Amino acid sequence: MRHSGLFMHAICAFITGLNRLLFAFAAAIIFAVVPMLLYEVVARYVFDAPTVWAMEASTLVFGPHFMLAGPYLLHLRGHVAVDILSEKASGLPKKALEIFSFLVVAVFAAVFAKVSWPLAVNAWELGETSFSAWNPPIWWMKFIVPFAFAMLLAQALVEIVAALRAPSQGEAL
Amino acid sequence: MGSEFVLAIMFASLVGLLLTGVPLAFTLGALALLFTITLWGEAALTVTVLNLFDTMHSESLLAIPLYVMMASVLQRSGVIESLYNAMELWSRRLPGGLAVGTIAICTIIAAMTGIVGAAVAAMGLLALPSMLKRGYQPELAIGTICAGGTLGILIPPSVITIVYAVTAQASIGQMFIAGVVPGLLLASLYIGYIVLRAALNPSVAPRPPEDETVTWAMRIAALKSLILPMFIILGVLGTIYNGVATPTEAAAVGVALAFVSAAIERHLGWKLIEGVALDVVKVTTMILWITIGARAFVAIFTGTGGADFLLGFIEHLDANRWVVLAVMLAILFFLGMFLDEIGIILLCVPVFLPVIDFLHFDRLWFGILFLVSAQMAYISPPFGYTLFYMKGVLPPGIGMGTVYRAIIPFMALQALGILICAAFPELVLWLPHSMIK
Repeated sequence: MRHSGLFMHAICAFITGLNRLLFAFAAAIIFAVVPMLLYEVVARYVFDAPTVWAMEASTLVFGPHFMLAGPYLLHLRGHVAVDILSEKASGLPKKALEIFSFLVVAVFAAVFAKVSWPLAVNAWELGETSFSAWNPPIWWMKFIVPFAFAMLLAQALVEIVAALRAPSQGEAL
Repeated sequence: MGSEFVLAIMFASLVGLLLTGVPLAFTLGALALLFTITLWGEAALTVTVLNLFDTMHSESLLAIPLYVMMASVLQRSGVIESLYNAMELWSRRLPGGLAVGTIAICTIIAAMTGIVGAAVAAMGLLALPSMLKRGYQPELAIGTICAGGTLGILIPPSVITIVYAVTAQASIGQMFIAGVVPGLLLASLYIGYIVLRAALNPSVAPRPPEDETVTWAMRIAALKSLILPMFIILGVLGTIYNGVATPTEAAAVGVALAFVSAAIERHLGWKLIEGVALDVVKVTTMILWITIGARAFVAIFTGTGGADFLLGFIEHLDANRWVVLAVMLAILFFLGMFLDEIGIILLCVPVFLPVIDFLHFDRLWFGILFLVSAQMAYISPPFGYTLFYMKGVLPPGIGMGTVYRAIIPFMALQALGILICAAFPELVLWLPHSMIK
């Protein structure tokens, strides 16, 4: 029993750690957009030679930026929620509300991961590109979606486990 | 099942789930999945995912992390602090001088950055202690900061305006220009109110004793702090209006200028970058996940014929079009009391715009009325965003009750602002029409 508790703890820590890593990665990559767009403005306005890639490359950074950071933001409680009830509740009802809320997130994430997976596989099989003048491959971006939702599902489950294990305020005092 | 029945269930479950504390993004998303599957089957979810791919590619929404980044750099680099110190030297002898100066600084911050939090957090830390030390009535000081902070919604560049324009499929540049005059109008209303209050009752804003150590040389020297912000404002708004850059590209220009300012202020370092990265990823991710959920939710609303139902209802109502407009704004205000502003835009704009077209109102003009009502939502109790930023910086001894009392006169001024913009559409439309032909 104790052994399985430790194992569970290790899994939870691993998932949260992985999501934290993805969050840090997402936070870092967005800085790349600034030099790319500056280059585009200067190239177009000063040298009258617009690039075909700068804006599109920037949007390719943008999607992964917010998708990959989503799961860890759940851990940080960074997704805005209305807390009129949960703020007033304490003890068991508070715990129940919390667990219910993460269950909703888990179901949402699971369904979305399942639905988006075949679209990603399809894009990969076709070797999908963006069909713009630059025409970069974009199939890889479609895999970000099921991956981010799977990680969100994992994080929601971790939060449920954490809520179940934490002594609720009422009991602890 | 009639569409009105489906709609009633949809909105009832939206409110119900929200109240249990499920984050807005997932409330919208989960309900969208549920209703899509029950109404049209699982295959229809493919469209929802395609919508998501679309959001990930959006050039316009890419401006959001950039404007957040710019605000965060400016706030963390001391640029705003120097501005505030300069203002204090200049406005101290005016009735309610510090409060008037705070509004002026908020207007400048609004023109540099696109998010509300930047001005409120910075002024809460700088202006609030100095006003309270000077013996200002806490209500006046707090109300000033809350109201001034929301100017960022109307005065370009503004993230809220971008989300609105993207949702309404309007031109971001045109919306930006249209926001200038109403934004300045609100700022003048605030200033007028503060001066009047302070002149009628000097005890709410005591004037400082004559201070011989403040010389004109010091005042002139302090103007230096205006140089960097002016460059940033010119850099961002100038490039948009001259057509040199799209609003997204202009945001990148602004970020670069903000980093240059931080370097000049000798604040550019690893600590700044780290803080900025965290601000950006948190705010952007929160907004964009709500966008994902709201897009899916609205798709159902339009798919079940919700918009047609609403139009039919209004046609049937046969009410005066101004009454319908007033009802729509009242709905926005009501939603603003407990919903996030981005969520409100994504939910209401696709629903309201067909009605606006049907009533032959100008879309651009309505957009601005929408944004002014969003300002009210930002400071309306009990859940206005600004109030929470404020809560974080309140000194001990001042509770949320004081904050609630503080914002009432300013909400009245915002309501007055809506009335003025509604009565004189030229105020809103004149500038965009004269600049874009």
